Amino acid sequence: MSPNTWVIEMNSHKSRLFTHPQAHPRSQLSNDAFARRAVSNDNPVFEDISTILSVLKASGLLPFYEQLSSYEVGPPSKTNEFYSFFVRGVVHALTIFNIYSLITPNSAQLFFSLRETDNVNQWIELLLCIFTYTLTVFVCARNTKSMLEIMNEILKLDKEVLRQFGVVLSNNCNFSVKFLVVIVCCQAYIMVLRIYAVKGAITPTSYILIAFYAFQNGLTATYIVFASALLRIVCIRFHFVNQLLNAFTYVQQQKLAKKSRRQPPVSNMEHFPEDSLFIYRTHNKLLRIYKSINECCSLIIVCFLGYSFYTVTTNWYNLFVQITNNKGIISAHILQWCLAWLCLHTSLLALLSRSCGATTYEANSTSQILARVYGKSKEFQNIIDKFLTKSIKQEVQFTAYGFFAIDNSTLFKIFSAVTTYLVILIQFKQLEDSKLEEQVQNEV
Amino acid sequence: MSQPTPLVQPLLLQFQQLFFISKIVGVLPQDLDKFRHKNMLEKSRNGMFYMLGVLSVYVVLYNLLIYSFGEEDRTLKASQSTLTFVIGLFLTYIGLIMMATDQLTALFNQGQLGELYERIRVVDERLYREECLLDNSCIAKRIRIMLIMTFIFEISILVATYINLVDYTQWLSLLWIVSAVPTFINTLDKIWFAVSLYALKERFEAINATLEDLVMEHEKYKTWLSGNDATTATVGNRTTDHPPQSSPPPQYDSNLEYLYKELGGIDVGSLRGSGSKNRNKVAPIAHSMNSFGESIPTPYKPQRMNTNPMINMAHESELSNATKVEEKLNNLCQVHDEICEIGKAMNGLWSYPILSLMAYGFLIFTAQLYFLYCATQFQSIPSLFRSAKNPFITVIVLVYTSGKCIYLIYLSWKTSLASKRTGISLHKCGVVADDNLLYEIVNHLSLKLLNHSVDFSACGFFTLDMETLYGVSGGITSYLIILIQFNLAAQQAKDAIQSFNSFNDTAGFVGAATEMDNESSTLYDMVTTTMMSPTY
Amino acid sequence: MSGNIGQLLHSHLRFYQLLGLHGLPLPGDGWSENWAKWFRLFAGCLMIGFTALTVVCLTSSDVFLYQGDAFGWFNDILKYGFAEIAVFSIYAETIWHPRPLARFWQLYATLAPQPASTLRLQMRQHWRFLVTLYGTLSLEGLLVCSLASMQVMSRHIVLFWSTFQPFVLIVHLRNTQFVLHLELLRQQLLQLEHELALLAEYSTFASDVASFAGFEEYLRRRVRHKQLIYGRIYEMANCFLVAFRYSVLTVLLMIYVRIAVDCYFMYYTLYNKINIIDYYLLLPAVLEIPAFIYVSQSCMQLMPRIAHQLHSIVITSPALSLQIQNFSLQLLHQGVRIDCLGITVLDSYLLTRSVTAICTYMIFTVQLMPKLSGTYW
Repeated sequence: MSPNTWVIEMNSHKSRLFTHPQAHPRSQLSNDAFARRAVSNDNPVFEDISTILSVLKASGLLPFYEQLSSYEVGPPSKTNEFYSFFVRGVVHALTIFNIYSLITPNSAQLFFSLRETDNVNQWIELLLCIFTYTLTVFVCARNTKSMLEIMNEILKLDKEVLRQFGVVLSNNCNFSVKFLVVIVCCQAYIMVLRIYAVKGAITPTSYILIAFYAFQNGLTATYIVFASALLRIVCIRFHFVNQLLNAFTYVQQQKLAKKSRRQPPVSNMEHFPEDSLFIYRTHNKLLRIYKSINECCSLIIVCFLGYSFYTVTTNWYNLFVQITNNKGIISAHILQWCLAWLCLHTSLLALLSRSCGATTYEANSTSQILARVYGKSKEFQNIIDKFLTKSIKQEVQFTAYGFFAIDNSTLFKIFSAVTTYLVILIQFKQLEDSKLEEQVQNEV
Repeated sequence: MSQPTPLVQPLLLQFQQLFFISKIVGVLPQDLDKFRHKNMLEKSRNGMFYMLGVLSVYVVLYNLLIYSFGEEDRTLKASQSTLTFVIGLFLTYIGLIMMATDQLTALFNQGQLGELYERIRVVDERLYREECLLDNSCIAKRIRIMLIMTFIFEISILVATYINLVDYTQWLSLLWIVSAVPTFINTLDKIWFAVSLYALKERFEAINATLEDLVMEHEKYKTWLSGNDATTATVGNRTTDHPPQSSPPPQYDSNLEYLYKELGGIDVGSLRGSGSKNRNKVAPIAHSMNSFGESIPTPYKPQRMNTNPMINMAHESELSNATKVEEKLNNLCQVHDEICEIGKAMNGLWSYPILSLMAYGFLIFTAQLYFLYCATQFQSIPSLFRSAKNPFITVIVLVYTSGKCIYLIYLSWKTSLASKRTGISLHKCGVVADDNLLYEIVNHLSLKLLNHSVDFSACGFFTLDMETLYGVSGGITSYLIILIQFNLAAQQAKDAIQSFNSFNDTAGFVGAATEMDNESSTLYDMVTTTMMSPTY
Repeated sequence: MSGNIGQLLHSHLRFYQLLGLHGLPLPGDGWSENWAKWFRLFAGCLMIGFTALTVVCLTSSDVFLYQGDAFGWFNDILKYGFAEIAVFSIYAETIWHPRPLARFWQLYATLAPQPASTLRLQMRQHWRFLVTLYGTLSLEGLLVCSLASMQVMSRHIVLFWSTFQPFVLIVHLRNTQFVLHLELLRQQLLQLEHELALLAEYSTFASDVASFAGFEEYLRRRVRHKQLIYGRIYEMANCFLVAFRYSVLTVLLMIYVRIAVDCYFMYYTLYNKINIIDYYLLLPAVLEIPAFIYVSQSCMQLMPRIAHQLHSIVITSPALSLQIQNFSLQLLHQGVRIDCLGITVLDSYLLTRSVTAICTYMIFTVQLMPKLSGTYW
């Protein structure tokens, strides 16, 4: 096909696409932006998530890739590669130092809590955090290439969409910046709380411990936000495909037929074979991208889920104990501390499960929408049948390293598990308390 | 396409009483006059204000109730474990939360609800054009039964609790009536959902029945072609049993006579679910009156349609003409899809109320049983759960609450089963006709049907099918066991302290006399070991 | 004359009929309206009898229930309660829902018109059912006898077991009845799979070596025939589910509750050194659930094999391809899935889950057991 035919095609496509403006508010917007963008060819890719990308790049989790054109990225240059390598080395060195100081009495200053179990909890939390972050660094270092491949795939897809439909797909990832702010605020707040809580002069080791702990937490959380942003990008592309397909369904055809009574009749279905070809191809590519994102991130996500499950449970427990203790002294410090942690982890969990759920839903609804296309001729029916047959046993899911599927129900399951543990823990606490009372009375 | 005179009676006509009650109580904000005259749900600003007013009155009254009955609870906090107290506090407000969710969602959805019923009406029209008739009259009956059940349950719980467990000498005790308001409003709202869901299920079943009819007709047509005299005698009488397999060899018949007699007098179709029970359908014509009070010119059309295929066209089968039947099957498939979409939209409208209902059901069920246990052990329980003091009232409350939840789950499960049956019926059509062209059509449509899904879920957190019931009952059992076990242990510890205290008084003299603190601690050890170890 | 279901099935169905579990006349019986009325009356009498027994046991001041402590007392109430629900649902189905069962047997008769000729062949055909039935029955009898000889009889034990054992017997027999029906279903599915395998083999042979005119058409018609048969088998499975809709649930629930409660109580009695050794009567109940689940799972496991055989037929013509496609879509739409009221699929995963649940509850009790005993009760 010569480019000229596409130019002609483009208009008709656009007119078809934009018969439902409410479905494409974003693409329209960005379509206007496209006029400007075409002039300056050197726009950075993934502009929406550039902040988060630069943070991750600076911390060595993502490579400093070279931008070859506006639709391709290349491997990082030697110096940049060395930089990432260096940063990772520093991180690992710090981790080892931290573990060392945790074992030696250097850190005793930080564990000052009232009860013995609290200290153990904090210890475990710290170790979990270190483990999660170290794993993240390792996995990211190993997956540098595949991450670049994913980016290139997405960009290639965008390019094709632009060529065929003249639409620049927006990424709609503003949430990433907001989450970044939330993470930074929470971590800074927690850091301040920690520093204030320590009695006496603070040793430099403690400072390093606290700062690095916050740093680790923040970066792990940032990586989760990045994964969600990637998922959102894929989700938007799936959505685009579905919208494209939606124009051919019988409902839309009927609407068109009603309209065309007044206007000269425009049959829509004649574009179906070529469009469907494009749609199938795009859908397959997207599925592949989705799968490779899953492969890249799932180990980190499993770890993070475990970590945040633990954190949420212990913090709820602490909060509850603080509120219901009979002495009537509610420590504002612990309250703030728990709330900050809860806020951070709950919002991250919600974000992750929501973006996974939305993407899975969009990916699965393609076949449902296709089932609504009624072709008159055998040829059309065969096209439809092929795709539907392919998608019969194709369960699209975002799994946590194959352990379980992540979607909205994961959030529900996590919180019901937290509740169960809470009930058991609190009951044990009460038993313990009544034992304590006995002892107190005994001493009196 | 669109004709000025309504072809079918709108579904909402059956909802008259329910709407009236819901409007008064403040469940729905829509316009009453418009509903009465046009059978339409339309937005209404006044209704909205009325509803908001009603909601705030309820909230104020409920808080007053909690305040006035909460006197006893203040002493409770000291005696009871904190967990019981906090759970109790949470449980007292969950009813209010549920009610507020229902009403606010109804406010937000007031425009979309009307659209939903309009879509159902359009579907009805399409079904009518495909000669697939529906009987809406049983829906009104269903609504009435549900309303009566609700009243019986609410009033019996209220009256029994009031008489038995509330101190009715004070005039303030009349406030107790308010405690029934949240559940009542919630039930009314759920009746809307349940009945609409039931209507959808009926539509699925109507599609299935139409497909099965095609199969039956074709079988008769075949037997007629083969000139089997024995079976032609029964043609025209639909209620005669006719096995669905094509012309069974006669030797089975003689051997199976004993079973045929058992099966006699019923339709074979009724074995496959209640789908084809309503063979003698009533046309959804509004008793030959449309909304303007004029009579529709052809009121007897549906009857003719119903009888014609039996008498005149008995030996013609639509399935033998593949091109003709393709249109019909296509249309049915589209209608099926449309009903699925309506189901999804309906689920979307009620997703938060259902979530809150399920949470409420789970919590109340667990709490009621737990407090029942507490009451049998003569421990004090939150004052709003005084119904747990009497086992019989507890049983009624449990039946009422769980009945609501389980019925919704059961109905959504049934609906999705009915939607899945369509594929099976479609395949029957294909196999019976045994025609290559028809096979192609059936294969194509069957693939499409596989991709139509009506899975009802509560905000995507969990699906509403019977498997959820398994999980929920497991959860309730675990929680009850955990709570009761710990309650036992706590009670045990408390007893130990009390007996120790009384023991300590006497031991104190001994301790003072000998002035040895160690001894009292060994005494304590002795006491605790004897208390904690088995005495058998 | 034993009709067309074979001597063996005939005699066993008669046995079930006499206990009021099988509400249909057998071939050879004169069937009249009167007979139905009398039979229903008989089943109703049994139902009322059992209910009355429960009421007497629960309300009597005699020691039907364990009097040693509140815990054991509550356990006994639970057992009676669930047993009563199960028995009630069983008879209710016999009395008011005979039609799906009739349809089941009608379909079975059309699918398998000729029983195996000799009794020995019939026994070989139904050996699974026979093993289940006689195995559990004899074990039950053996255990009751040994209990009678070994246990020091107290009034409570005599009263409790003489009243509770009939419930257990009826429920367990009902369970073997499920096994019988599912076994028949499984045989039909196996037969279908076998025939499809033959067709596949035949088609391979024909495509390689020899074919005759009209072979494709013949093959296509055979596949269609199998499709019709599959439709009937599916309806049979559906009839089974409808006929035993509630009793599957209640029977499983009763057995499950009994196992859970008795495991709990067994530990309790052992711990408190109460001299009652009746808990090993639990053994048959423990065997009943796996027997049922095993059969239902083997039914469901045949489904992928049928699909596999179907797709190994060598396709030689577009018409045949279309037919096979249609069949496989049909299989997708109507997979045989045996569940109780949709609540849970009856496969071995259910077994795992229930064992896990019982273990969890046991752990809770064992943890808190020291606090349970003592003067508190």
